[in-house]
Amino acid sequence: MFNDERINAECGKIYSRGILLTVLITLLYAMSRTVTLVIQGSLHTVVTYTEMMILIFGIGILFVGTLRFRKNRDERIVREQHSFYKKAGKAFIVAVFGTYILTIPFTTEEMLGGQSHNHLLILLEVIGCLYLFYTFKTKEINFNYSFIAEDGSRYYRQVFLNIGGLFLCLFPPFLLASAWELTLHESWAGALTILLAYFSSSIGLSVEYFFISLVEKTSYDSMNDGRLALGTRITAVVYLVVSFSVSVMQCVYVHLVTGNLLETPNVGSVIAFVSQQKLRIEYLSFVLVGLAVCHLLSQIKKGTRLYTVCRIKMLLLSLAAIEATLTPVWYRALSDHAIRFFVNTLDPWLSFVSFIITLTLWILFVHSLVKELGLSRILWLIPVLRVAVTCINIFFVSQNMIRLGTYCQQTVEMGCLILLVIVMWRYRGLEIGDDDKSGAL
Amino acid sequence: MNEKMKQARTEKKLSQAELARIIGVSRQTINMIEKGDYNPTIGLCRKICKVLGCTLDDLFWEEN
Repeated sequence: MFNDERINAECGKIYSRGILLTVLITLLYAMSRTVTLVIQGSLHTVVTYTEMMILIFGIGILFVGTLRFRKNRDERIVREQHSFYKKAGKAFIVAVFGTYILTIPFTTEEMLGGQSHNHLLILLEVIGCLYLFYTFKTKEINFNYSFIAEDGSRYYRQVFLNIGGLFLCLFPPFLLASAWELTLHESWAGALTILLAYFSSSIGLSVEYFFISLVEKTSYDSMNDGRLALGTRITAVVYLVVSFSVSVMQCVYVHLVTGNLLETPNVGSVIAFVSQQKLRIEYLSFVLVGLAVCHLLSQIKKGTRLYTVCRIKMLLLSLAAIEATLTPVWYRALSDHAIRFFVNTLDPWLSFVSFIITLTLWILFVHSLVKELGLSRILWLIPVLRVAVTCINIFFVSQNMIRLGTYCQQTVEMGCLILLVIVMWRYRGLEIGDDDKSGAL
Repeated sequence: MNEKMKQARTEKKLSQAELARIIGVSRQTINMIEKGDYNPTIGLCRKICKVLGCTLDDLFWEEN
């Protein structure tokens, strides 16, 4: 029977910190939305039922845990503490998702402040994924740790059993919510929408889980032959495909907003739709980059510059996800004058600062890859090309050729990513450690 | 580094993965114990000793 004390202890810590992180992000999100509602003149400062559950239950768990385990911290008590947080963490996840699903019929538009129903949950999912990838990989824990050592057929059978379990667990609350919607609002459309949400949520989560399981297993089984783990390389290729989609959407978005607005029917709705889909795909790209970077973390030495750069990248990804979620919340509260001021005055400076930070990180990343891992110096083209294309883009914008500037920028950025993936795919210089992955003595 | 544990394991012709499977822990945990990156509890130490046919002193006593 699998009962790894080290993993149990680490999971306890991961759950306790995860609950704290969830509470803090939810507090930030709820406060932002409440402030925007107040600014808009709405006197109803409300939080949704899901946010209430997260805050009350999460703070309750942390409070009880702190009181119960503040003294007598010997080995036995610490083990009890980890077990407490592991069970509490699972209960927390069930309670939050259960509340979200069951209260769909009762959550009003006023509560949501103009945001979509699952706006907060998507953010928590992205941050949660990044957090779990980072903590698991830095603590040398595999996903599906209890059965990853099994052979391929048994492993994937268990993965599919887990997926089946997910479908079964999600069905009752969604069915109940659908029934409530039908009873309370007499809306067949609403009830069917909730059932559709069940299928899309279950399928989405299943695909995510299956992909992560696949990446884990391929990395776990790949021989320690000096190459980057196969899972890292596969994730990088998938990220390329997703980045291409983001680039295309960005080009379409710029094409629409700079074109003749009268030519496109319902242009506002189209722009809003493209913007929303672009955001969703961007969230996916955050998760994929996080997965690839964390797999890389597990293969490089701690304390090196590359290790530090990867950790900074994970932090910036999380901040980017939070910014991408909160910006539309804040925009709803600003007046037209304030939005114009922000877009014309503040936004260019923020973009400039963001560009400097990104460029610095790229330079440090490439420097670490070349000096510490010995990858090809051709990677230095990446920061050089990024600077060049940014200068070209600024020139095009000044000449009112925004579309051309955007197309050039997106093309060069895709080219840089393709170059990085090719170089990393062909790399064979990793130090072969004494961890006998191959099973040899 | 716990060279004594690694030596005892290799004498029994067990890989880290095999030892981990017998004891019911992950391969990484065995690797971390051998590298000295993780301090196992007495319960885990006893399980390792039982499988490798050694005493606690043989594998986990630190020589000064």
